[in-house]
Amino acid sequence: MDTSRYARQSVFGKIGIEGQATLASSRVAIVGVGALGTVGAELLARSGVGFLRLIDRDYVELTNLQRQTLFDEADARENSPKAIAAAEKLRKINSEIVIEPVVADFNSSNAERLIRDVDIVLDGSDNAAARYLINDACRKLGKPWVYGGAIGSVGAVMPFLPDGACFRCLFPNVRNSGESCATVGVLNSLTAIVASMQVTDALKILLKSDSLDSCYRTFDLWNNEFDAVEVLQDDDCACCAHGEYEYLNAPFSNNSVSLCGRDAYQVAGNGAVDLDALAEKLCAVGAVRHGEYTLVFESGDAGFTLFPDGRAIVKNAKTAAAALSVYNEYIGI
Amino acid sequence: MKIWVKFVAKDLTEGLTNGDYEVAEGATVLDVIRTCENVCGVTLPPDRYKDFQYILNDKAAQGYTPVPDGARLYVLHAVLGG
Repeated sequence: MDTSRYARQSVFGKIGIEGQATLASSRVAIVGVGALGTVGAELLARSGVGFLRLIDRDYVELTNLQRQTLFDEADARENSPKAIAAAEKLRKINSEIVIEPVVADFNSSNAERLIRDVDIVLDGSDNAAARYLINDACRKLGKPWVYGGAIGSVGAVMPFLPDGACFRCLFPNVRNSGESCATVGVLNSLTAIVASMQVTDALKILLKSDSLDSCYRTFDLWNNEFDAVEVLQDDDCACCAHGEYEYLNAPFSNNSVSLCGRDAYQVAGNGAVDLDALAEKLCAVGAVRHGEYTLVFESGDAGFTLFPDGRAIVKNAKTAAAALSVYNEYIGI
Repeated sequence: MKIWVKFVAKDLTEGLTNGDYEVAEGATVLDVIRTCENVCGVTLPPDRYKDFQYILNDKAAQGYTPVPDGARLYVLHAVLGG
C-alpha cells in the first residue's frame, strides 16, 4: 500500500498512521447506492477503507445524475446497475481496496448474509422498511450502522451502536408518508452533507473514537436550521429491548412486489432468467435493449428493466397488481 | 405545569414557536401540541399529527404519553429520502 495516498488523512491526529491501518483492514456494507450511497462509498474508498460491499437493486437513470456522484451519462444511457457502475468508478479512484458490487434487493432473505462479515453498515436507502430491516439485522448481529435521510432541504443523521438506542427507539412505527425525492425534490448539497456526516460517524465508529454521540442530528439547509436531539434507549423497544425482529423475520416471497420510486414497482421474480433467450422472444412485441447486466423492454406504456436474477423493475405501473400483470405477461412467473 | 417544547420539524409546524408552555396536570403529548397551537394561534391540519415523532426527555413518546412537569419535548419527523 502506498501510504502517501492517505498522508493528509493520517496526519490528522484523530486518525494517525495506526488509524489508517485500521481503516485498511475495515469492511463496510453500503445498503443503497443512490444519492447518499454514492457519496458515502466514494468518501470511504478515498479514505482507504479496505473493503466496500455496494448493495443496490436499481439501475442508473438520467434523473440520478444531479446528485448521484459516481454515475455519468453513459451509465444512464445503458441503464447500468448502480452497484456495478459505482464499483467501476471506485476502482478507478482506488485500486488498492476491494469493492464488491451486489446487484440485489436487500430483503429479509439476504440481509444477514450481506452484513454478517462487515464491521459497519452505511444506510443509503430511501424508505422506512429498508431502515427497519437494516436495524433488525444489525441489532441481531451486533453491528453498528449509520442512518442517513434527505429530502428537499431537510436532512438527518444518527449512528446506532449495538448497545445503545436503535432506530426503533427513535422511530417506533414510522411509515412512508408518500413524499419522496421524486415528488418533492432534493438538493444535491444536502445529500452530500448527509453522506459526509454518515461517513464521519462511520470513521469514528471504526476507529473507536470517543467523539461519537447518540444524537439525532437534523438540519434544514435552506432555512439555516440545525438541531441535535439526544435519544436514549427505550426500555420497551420492540427491537432492542424485546428482540423482536419484525422486518428480518418477515417471510420473503418471490412474487413479492414493492414500490420502487415513482410509478415503478420491483417484482422479485422466480429466480434466474436467460436474458438472451428472453430478448429474442420480446423483440417481436416491443423495443429491447440488452446489456451485460440488464434487459430493458418497452412496449407502449408497458416497460421494465430485468436483471439476470429474475428481478424486474416495472415502470409506469400504478399499482402492484398492474406491475405483476406486466411481469406475468412478458416474463412469466 | 411547565413544558419546554422544540419544533424540529419546522417545515410541518410553521407558526409554532419553541419555548416554555403552561399545560394542565396530566396533560399528554398531544395536549401539549394543542396548547401550542392555541397559544400561537395556529391550527395544524388534522392529518399532520401522523407525521410527527416525539422525543420526551430523550426517549421516544406517543401522542397519548403523559408529560411530566418540567419535561423537554421535541417534535420531529422522520426523514426517509436518500
